[in-house]
Amino acid sequence: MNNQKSIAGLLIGAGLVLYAIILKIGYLNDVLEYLEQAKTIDVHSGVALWVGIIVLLVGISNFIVPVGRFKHDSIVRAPAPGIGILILLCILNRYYLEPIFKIWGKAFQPALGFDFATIFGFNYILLGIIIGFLWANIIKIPAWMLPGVKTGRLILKMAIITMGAMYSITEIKHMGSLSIIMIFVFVMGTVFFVLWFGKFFETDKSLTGVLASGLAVCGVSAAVAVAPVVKARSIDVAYSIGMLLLVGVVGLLVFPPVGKAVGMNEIQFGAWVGTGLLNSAQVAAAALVFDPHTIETLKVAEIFNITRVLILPLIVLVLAFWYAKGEAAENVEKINVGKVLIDKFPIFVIGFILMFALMSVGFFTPKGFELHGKDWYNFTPSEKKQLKKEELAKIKNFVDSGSITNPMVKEALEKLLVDKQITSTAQADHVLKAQDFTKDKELKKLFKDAVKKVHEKPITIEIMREYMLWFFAYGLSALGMQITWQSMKQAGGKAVAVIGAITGFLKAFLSFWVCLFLLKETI
Amino acid sequence: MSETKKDDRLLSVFASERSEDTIAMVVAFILAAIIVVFFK
Repeated sequence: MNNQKSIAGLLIGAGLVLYAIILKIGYLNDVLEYLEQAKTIDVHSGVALWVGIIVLLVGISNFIVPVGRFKHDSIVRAPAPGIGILILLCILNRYYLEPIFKIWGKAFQPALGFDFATIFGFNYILLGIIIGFLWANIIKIPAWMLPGVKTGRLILKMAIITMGAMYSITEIKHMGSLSIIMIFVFVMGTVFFVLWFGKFFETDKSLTGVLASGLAVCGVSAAVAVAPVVKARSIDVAYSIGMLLLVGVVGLLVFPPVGKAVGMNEIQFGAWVGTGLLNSAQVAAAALVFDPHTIETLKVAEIFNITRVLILPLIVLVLAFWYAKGEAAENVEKINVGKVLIDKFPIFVIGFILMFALMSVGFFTPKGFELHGKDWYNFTPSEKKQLKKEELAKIKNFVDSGSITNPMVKEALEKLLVDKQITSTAQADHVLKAQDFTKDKELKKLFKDAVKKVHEKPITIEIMREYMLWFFAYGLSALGMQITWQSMKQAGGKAVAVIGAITGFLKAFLSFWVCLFLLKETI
Repeated sequence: MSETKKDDRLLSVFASERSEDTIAMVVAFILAAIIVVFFK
């Protein structure tokens, strides 16, 4: 932006296009197959090619005409080289480093006794922040890259708005009323407790907001979603993520032995981890550590986990109002608090809520698709989804044998025999449950396959999810680049640790007693 | 407001937060509309 010709964009754009060509020719096929990323070649070569072409064209113009000559150069031409580098970093993180960590996590599992990559959450999000931070503080960000880094917040907001389409209020109808009430009380209770705690500690409002969301809902994604809403600093997000992962790891180590020691059943333990543990990955891991043989605990834990994630849109809205109200109160010279509240309200939150509403009314869902928990189903009758004659005969024998004691399961299987395929989510659940009534492995597989046949994710949601992940990867790498050693010293690391530890402990402790005494056999 | 917060707020290509929010919303909804039109 200092009226100089720059060759950076031209070189980076050419590099991206070259990388896309190398991918398409197939020079990296072996490497990507080893990393189990062969399926991603089309998407990631496409992104590299199109971003590369745009950066290359802008780069050529930057080389011919100095940046800063035109009115909108600061948002059009100047960021191009930085955008190119960030896209390269996303590719590196998502398709190379994350899979490498996955492989390392599994390789070291026998020695460590746990998969460190899963448990410590070494995914592209965390890696993006770490690499961005190391780059900014060790190599330093060159001046030509800085305008690109500044686009991070915009892209992060686009990711959060799109994230609204990943939730649907219709999912709530599948949840048990007890799980909804319990989760709602714990999530909202945590939010208000952290807000009060932050006030008590005199912690920065932005940091308190990020912590409240992260500690209340499901960890990292909730903290990131709320960050721009409460105008958080990069360091607030980084500290919160670090704390959430650490508290989650401690919980993962403590929850299963405690659950075993007090003799919790699968439902009690599943509900406890789904409520009291902070991060989704660790919830699943703790449920599997407690009960590695059946999926009952995992299923209950996931139901609770999904229920709390569904409250995220409400949390975003509550914190947006809370923050805007606080800002309005600080502006004492302005008399009209309502007007200031409107002025300060982050309007991209409306986009997030609107996406959530559109998803809830089925705007993005093609005909025939249904969302159930985390899974999508398509029950439109088709031959592909139907079971073969011999498979149906095997199921008929099983039904006739009289070994099914649950009438709902029996009814679901009888309906399957008539329709030849599964036609509803309730039926899918009951067919899966039928596994409990047989030891025949083939029959169990048959039930699973019948459900698998109707499992299908709508292409609309898949595409939106894909570009949302790219936006997050991009925005968070840029966020990492904005954290400096100095900001780490100034930011309230101690407050984060204290609030995180106390809230994490209280949430685990209270939910433990509730699950132990209020939950019995059903949810 | 702390010094770091001031620095952090500078890190946007847009002069005002409202324009950034508006652009984010416009782009996100255009993308969503394209997907609904072509893939739903």
